[in-house]
Amino acid sequence: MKNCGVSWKSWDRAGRALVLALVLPLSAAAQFRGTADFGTGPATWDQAEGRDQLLNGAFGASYRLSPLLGLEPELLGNFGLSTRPTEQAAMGWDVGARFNTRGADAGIWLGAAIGAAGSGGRQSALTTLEAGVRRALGRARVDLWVSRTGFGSRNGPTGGLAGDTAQPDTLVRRGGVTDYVELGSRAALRVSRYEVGLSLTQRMGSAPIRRTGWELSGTWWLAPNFGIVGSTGHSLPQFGFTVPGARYGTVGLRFAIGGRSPIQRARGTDAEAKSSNRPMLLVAGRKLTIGWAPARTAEVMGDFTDWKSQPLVPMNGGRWTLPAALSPGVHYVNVRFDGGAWLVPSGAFKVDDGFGGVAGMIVVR
Amino acid sequence: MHRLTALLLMLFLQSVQAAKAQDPRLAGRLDSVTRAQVEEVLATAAGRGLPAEPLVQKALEGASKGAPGPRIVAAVEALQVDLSRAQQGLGPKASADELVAGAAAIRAGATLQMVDRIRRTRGDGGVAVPLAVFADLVAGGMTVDAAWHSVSELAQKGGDEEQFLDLRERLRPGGASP
Repeated sequence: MKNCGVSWKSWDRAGRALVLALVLPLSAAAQFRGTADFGTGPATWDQAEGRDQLLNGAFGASYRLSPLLGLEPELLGNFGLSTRPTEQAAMGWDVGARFNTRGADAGIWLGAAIGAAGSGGRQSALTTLEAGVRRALGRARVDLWVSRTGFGSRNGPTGGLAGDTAQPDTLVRRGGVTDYVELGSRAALRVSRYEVGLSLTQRMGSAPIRRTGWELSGTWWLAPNFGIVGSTGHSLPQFGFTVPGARYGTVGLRFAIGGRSPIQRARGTDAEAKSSNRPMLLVAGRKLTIGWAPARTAEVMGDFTDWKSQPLVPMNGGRWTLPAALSPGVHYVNVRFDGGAWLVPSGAFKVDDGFGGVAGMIVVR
Repeated sequence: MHRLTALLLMLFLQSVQAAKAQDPRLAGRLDSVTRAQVEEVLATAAGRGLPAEPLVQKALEGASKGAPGPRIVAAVEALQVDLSRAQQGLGPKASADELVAGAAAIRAGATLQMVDRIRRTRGDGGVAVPLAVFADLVAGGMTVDAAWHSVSELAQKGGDEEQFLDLRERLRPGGASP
């Protein structure tokens, strides 16, 4: 369950936001990552009797830009939708940017986002500022962050907090904008094709809005870009407070777009080569194989062929292999398909060849 | 008599070195001028205790990629310099593979101090993969400082080869590149 939402009148704005988040990635899919979740399950509301059956959808995407001043800028976009039988759909969207430091295992980020959330005729503009730290510990990753979210009735006379269900008048108001601060944490563990995550969020403020939310989730990646996700927890009031907090449990599907799901990170597998949709070099048992290269001919040259072009032998599934085994050590290699340009397949280290191009470096054990 | 013996010994050693510098694979792939210049570089490298094979391969690579003779010679000379610097950073016991990876890292912008520090940090863990990852990250657009920070950080934590490959996966999107 995502904490965002927007009114039906803001579909056009949400659409523009999504276009903004998607146009850039189309030109460089390798920098683009996104997930789309669809789930359903029961929810027991904090401030109402009975249970409802929720239907949720969420889409999040990010696009990494070139490094700037030693930082990694990242554009982010999120869209969420939640429906229940007797209420209008609650929706939300936001777009923003984040600056990440470039540590491999640890770092910090600063970010800001704007958006809107609400349901029916009630809507609120949202602004969020956040700062966080991340830390990788083996296969686990921990994120801690603090965020300040401001929202108000700037989008229309019927918007804002008037219809909210979480006693919003007790929130802090500044110049017509209401805000709250959240402390969040998330720990995720990835093993093979399974992911487990635990999130804790503490919303700060006066007693009526001071809440603690949590979620325990698990994802089973059935395919490189497709998995089953289940989650349970206690949500905070969402979508601009038009959806109250609830205890919930959902089961759904998760689609990975552009980025790499855990199953894809297992290098040296056919699944990775095929899912990457690009020629990928694999070395297993000293045998060189190029995966996912739908071509009529494929050639390789490298120090192991004295830089003479040698045809690769086709295998099934768009794979090509070099019949001779490679000797252990560091090797340089280029490949080409259908007589095209010599290139470096992914899976090889790309280095300057000294002739105005690049060569792939591989390490054979 | 002693002078004559010394002269003959010197001539013998020079002829051995010259013979070492000649590689039959170059004959059919390079024109005579380029080949002679490359063989001079090979002789210099042999005198410094550097492996000849990477240099021969660089010349063959240039020939296969259609590079003009002067560019091939320049690339072989540059590699010889990089191998020599890598040897300074990695020490005389470094293997040919480690020197090749070290040369690639130096070509990408690593300093001798960086290479030396990786060697000291890694101990017996092997430096070829960390240095190759460094060169790859820089080739992918990372600054030298940022790539060095990431690689050295993992080296100090005792990361194994698999973790260095994971690092590369995390920091650099894959993709076939011309």
